[in-house]
Amino acid sequence: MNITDEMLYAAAPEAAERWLDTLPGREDCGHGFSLTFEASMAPILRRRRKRHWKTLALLAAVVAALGALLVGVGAERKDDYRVYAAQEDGFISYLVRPRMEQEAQDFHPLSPGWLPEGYALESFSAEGSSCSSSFRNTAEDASFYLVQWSGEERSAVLLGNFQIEQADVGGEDAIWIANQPEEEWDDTRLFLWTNGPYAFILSGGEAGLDLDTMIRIAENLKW
Amino acid sequence: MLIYLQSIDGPEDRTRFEAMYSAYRGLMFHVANRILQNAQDAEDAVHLAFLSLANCRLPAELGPQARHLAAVTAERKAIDLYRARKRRPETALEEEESFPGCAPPPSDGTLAGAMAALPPRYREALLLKYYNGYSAAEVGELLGTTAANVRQLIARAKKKLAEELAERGEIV
Repeated sequence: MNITDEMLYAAAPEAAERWLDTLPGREDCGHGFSLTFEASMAPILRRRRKRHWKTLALLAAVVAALGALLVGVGAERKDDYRVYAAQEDGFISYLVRPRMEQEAQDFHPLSPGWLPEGYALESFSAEGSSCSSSFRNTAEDASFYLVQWSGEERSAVLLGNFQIEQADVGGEDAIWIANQPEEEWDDTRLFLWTNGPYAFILSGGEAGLDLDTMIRIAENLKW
Repeated sequence: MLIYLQSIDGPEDRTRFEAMYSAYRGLMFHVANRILQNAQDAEDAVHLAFLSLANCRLPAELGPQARHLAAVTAERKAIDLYRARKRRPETALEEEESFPGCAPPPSDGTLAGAMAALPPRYREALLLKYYNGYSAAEVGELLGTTAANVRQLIARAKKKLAEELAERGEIV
């Protein structure tokens, strides 16, 4: 009893069609993706590949790092941090952990009380204990994004030549992460901080926001 | 978890990638969400799926093969996340496990029907090779495993197909 490659090649189109028939059509798959998702996809959609060997070497390093995520700066354990970033050769990893409150409370989105000149709120979306806003400067065709959440910690790994800088927002630790892009579209600038039960990530690479501007936005969030 | 990679070759690849992103991200979310039952986790799975797609050879045009590739990649990432959430890595014995939201079409005793009704891991490996035309190494990249493991998966899938068709009295 033997199933040959020829048989499988012949049957595969019908098999694929049968499985695909169990899935809904495009018109039934509407989903409003979060701004967090859109912001995370933007760099992938913009970037070109640099060759495989380098990517694979970095990926191997990332996989190794994920096992013991965040063993980096300082002697204290990552558990002691609200925001934390560690740098390795070719990538950085970060973690943001909102303070867990004893009693569950309603999620209150904060909004900037100050914006850089030319920027205005473009969109806002909220789901559960997370919300995202985008702010756009139409004259300069640039946007930046603010994500706020409570409860869970979030972490990520970013490949590339990044720099980490410690900062402070209203007495709470903050971290600035930025790369040194060879091209404008590759500009990535993240500012991470916490405020009580909330954590925030400000993504301002496309808008070219500097650290002082991000701190000013962060310090002027209001109910 | 978000992982940013430097991906996607030339303008042609980028156009294909953008076309797939536009056409299938909703489908991919649906596939992932029916497994994970959590919108944020499903978006993470779609994100990871696109990271895999950014590093693979994409179909020249949108159509059934591209749709299949998108859906399978999202399914695999969702299953991997589902396992990770349960802190349960896959073992050889669990390759045949089914997952919530992965109900296969009923098998009708034909080879095509039996292939479509295989457990996800077997079906994905078989169809990515015999339908999408990927090599074992390429299938391995998409499924997050090695080429050698893909060859083993395909060998086991063929054996399972032969057993199931023999049980139904089909001459194979």
